[in-house]
Amino acid sequence: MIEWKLNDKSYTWARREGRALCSSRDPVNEAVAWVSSLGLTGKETEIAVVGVGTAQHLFELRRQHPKIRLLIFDSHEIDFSSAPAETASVWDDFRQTNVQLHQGTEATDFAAITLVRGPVVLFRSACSATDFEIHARLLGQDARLFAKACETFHFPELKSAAQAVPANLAVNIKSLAQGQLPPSSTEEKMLSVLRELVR
Amino acid sequence: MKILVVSLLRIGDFFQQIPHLRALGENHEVHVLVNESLRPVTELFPEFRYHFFPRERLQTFLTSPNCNLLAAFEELRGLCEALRLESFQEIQNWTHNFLSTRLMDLLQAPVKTGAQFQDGELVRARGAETYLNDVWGPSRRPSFQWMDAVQMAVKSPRAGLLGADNHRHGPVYLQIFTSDEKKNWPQDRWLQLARDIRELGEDVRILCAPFELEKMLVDFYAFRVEVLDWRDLQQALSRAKLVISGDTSIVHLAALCRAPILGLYLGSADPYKTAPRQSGARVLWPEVACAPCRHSEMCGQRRHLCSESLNVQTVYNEVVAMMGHGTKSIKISNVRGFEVLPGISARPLLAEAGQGLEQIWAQLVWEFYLGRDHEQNVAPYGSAARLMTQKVVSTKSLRAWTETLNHKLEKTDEILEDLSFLIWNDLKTIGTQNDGMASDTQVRLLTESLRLLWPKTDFFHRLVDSMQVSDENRFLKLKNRKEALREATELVLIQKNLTRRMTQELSEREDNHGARA
Repeated sequence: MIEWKLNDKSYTWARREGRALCSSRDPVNEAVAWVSSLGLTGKETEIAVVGVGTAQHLFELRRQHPKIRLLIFDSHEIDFSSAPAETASVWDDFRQTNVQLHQGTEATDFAAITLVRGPVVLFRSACSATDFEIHARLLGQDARLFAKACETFHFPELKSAAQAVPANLAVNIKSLAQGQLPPSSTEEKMLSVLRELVR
Repeated sequence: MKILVVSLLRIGDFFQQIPHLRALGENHEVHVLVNESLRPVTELFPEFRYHFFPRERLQTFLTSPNCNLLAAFEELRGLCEALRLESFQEIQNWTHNFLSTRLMDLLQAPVKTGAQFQDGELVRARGAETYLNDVWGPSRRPSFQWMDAVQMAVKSPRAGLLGADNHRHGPVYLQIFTSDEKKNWPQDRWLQLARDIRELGEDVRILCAPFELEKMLVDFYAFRVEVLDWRDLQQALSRAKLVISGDTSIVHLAALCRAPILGLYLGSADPYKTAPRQSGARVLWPEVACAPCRHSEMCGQRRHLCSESLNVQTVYNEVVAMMGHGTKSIKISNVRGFEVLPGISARPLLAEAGQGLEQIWAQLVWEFYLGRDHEQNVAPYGSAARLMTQKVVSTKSLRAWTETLNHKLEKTDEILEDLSFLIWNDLKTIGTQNDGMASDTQVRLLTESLRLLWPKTDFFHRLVDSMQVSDENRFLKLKNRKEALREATELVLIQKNLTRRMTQELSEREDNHGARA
């Protein structure tokens, strides 16, 4: 259950089970800083955000990048019924824009099959183990599957790093493991092309 | 025929490819695969159909810790599928780097030309492809520009050399900055040059990108500084009286727009490789030991030696000569001045004053050499070409030299014919009563006359050596002689062809010169 609060500067903030879902002092400034920290170039067509919280960061993201498609994941059911009327109204408007929302248990399942054509980012409200799992699934980073991918695609130099997936190499290995990307000749050629781009 | 050209290079390179694409487009439907970043530039050349390679997006997907690698796979798969549906009959690689060669392996077409992998294995390069690999090192001086060598490698139609319109009355455009700090000429020298040219009564304008405008206005506030999009830039260059620039995409676009060009090639810029493809274009290139430096590295010197060597007076003198305000007055020793001339088969040729013929000969030899599909070891032919080039360098009159050479070649032909007769006779006598190499003395006499005829070259050294070896196995000895004779005959044939071609080239040039006069 989300508790909605109003601070002494008249900013709305909220907490769930005692944990703040956004800055209690200045959520708007926090949202602006968060969007800046993403380093978006403006050429992105899609972005996945894990964590809804009070949605201030989502509103700010939409304001700065009105054309980008937002895939929003949260391990909790999103409920704005108890939110202040103004926030609830903005949320309703926001949902009408180019947004795809996955929440609750469904979010974890969708994360496994969703291919994001752009960055996958976390907001502070995404702090539970399930949220982190959603994030990992979207990126497809998992040590065991990574080792398997190294074997499949002949990455001997990376195999030793399988216990700690390199932060600069996001490998969607869930798909390899599930057989969506068989190591056929074409796939190997595609991999060769892609490897040239990161030499 | 529907042809896809893979051109994953930068804007300037793409501009250099346009004449070749147009030549190809005369008889074929041409599609071009270019980097996504070239999208605005492609609008200038609507005669081709374009496909875009999302290089930056793929790199973001691949390297960002926040992105999913599979997105890159899907993006690439989508592009491949779109290209597959086009059903190209031929794909030509005009890029010649690892990325493009891998991509060639991935794309499907009945005919694929240029550097490529096939099922994960690099296809053995031959002729012009090897030339591109071998001669494109930082310190080499190729006889052909990049695109001409690529054109030979993929055997696409040859493009003519563009000319300049020297009768314009438009502005003189200065492009101050290049994409690379080490290729830049100091801003204060540009400013001085701009002032000097304005004093000649010319309308001087400064070109810059939007992000350079603020920096530019600090010094060039007294001049008209223009920030133009590609379309407007094309129009501006189409009426320019002169364009002065470093090694940038602007010089290559100016060449397409027939604007007279003066290039200031500094840092990693190498006129032998990227001079503007325009007959009459001039290039100034400081003669410092470290130039040209490596493209991907920063200037390794404490001072920017190449830009310091190029003073304002040198550039100004060249400008004055080009615009017809006077003649060049001073020869500055540490700066080399080049002119782009029409070379063999209308390919651009970079020559300093008085060196055109040497370059023409080098191009001729290389064109012949690279155009052959060598089935055997090519070393002797390459060596012959090199020796002949050296010979030309030391000869003042090329026409006189070609006449002497023709005469010598005829004599050589006669000797080789006699040798052939003797060797065949010897071969016929094997196993007979006369099996005693009776002709040995005659063979030695003939090879000795060959040596006298060609005292300073080693064209026929293998032949001469094989005649002098005393092998116990007579059959093996004759076999060696026969092989050496075949090689010598081939060499004579090559030289005859080259000499004939050179004589023809000289006559054509003389005719053209006469017609112009």
